[in-house]
Amino acid sequence: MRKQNKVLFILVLGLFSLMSCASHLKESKSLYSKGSELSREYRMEMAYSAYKKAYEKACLQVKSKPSAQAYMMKGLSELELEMWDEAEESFLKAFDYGFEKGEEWAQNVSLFSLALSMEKFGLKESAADIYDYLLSKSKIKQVSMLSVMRYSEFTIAEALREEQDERLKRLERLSKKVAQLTEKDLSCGFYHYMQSQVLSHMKRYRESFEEAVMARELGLPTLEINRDNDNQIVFCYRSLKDELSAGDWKEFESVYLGWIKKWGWEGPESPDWKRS
Amino acid sequence: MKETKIDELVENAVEILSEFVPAKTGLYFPIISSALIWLINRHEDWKKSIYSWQVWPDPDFLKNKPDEFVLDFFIQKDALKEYFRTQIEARDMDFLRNAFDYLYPLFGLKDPFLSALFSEEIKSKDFKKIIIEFDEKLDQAKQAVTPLKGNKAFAQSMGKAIKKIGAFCVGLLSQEEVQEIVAEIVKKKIKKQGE
Repeated sequence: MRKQNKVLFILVLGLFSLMSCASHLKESKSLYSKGSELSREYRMEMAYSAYKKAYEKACLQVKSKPSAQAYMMKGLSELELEMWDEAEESFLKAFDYGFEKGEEWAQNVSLFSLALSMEKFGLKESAADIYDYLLSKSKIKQVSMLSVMRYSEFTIAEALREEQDERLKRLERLSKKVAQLTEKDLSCGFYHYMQSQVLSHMKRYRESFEEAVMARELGLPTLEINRDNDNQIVFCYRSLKDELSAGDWKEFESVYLGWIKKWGWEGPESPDWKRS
Repeated sequence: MKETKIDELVENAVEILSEFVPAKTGLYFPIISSALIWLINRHEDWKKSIYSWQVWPDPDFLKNKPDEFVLDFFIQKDALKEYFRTQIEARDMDFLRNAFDYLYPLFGLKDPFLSALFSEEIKSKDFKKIIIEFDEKLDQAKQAVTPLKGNKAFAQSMGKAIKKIGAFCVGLLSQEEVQEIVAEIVKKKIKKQGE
């Protein structure tokens, strides 16, 4: 009887341990989703905290029952926490456990981390080459987004040093690269923001405005980018006021007023957060 | 009526902050101010937003802007237009771009934390001082505030203090109004602590 109880106890313990493992992974996934949701709402502190908890849960899962999924979750959380080296290692482990893309993901993170270091040491051109590769090739969205931002900063800075014709050529190439990203992922507000910024450098204000509106509607990753995007919308409005013919302006203005009404702005040049 | 409520709110917040931030670090003002401004911007869901305020900006937006955008930024703000008149007229873009890097987060993006950190300079329109001291002052602030980032107890305490007031009255104020009220109260408080 006592022996039977012991067996039962071990069985229950085993079952409990199994359930607890499954729940670590489940919790990690749910916390990660929560982090993404909060991040979309610009609640960055809360998002950071959710990602940190997701990471902790994934660590527990990896310790108790390592699997491709557990390492994937660990790697994804580490990416959000900008723990590049650790993320690379986690994706490699995920590959070892059967996640086919793990090796490629690890390579992406490793390359991004390398480019960051190169930039720090002043090797900007080499870093830009890596960002250029990653922005189109990376299968990880975060790496793609960070790479397109850094590559654009570099390319625009270079273009600004050139004469008008060469400047436009470089910007045109950059615009095409960003357009490819928007085509690949139409619902990503950040790519539309980047496109709007590049088009503004090319003085294509109407298109820049349209991209900025799209970015605002789809949502942007941080409050600063959101505000910067609003400033771009206002800047396009002012520039087009000087540039368009009376008829075109009337048509544009009516579209513009429709949008700002939807967004609750006080006036054409007063985004909600600029309340006086 | 609303000033009394803000007074009360700030009094509470300073009390709580004294447990987390060493006195006289000069950080009471930016922290409280940015927290309050978050309330203004998000007064619909203020309970949640108090946990989410950013204590300093992540340099996420695209920094390289067209010349026209940079010029427009300086021209649209009377104080900046006046201060940088010579450079604007001469179209000294190297000078203006350098100034833009420091002033745009403050006046263009209205970053609550930075606006509060440089409130004295903004009030006295000492833009040169902002540019010269920006990196050093921000570095110091980051170091002092880092332990607070993600400190759940701190966020909860701040949340409790603000809950007493009710978001609707805060929602009626603008960023500048809040900053002014907070600045006065915090100054008095720090002076009192020093006595």
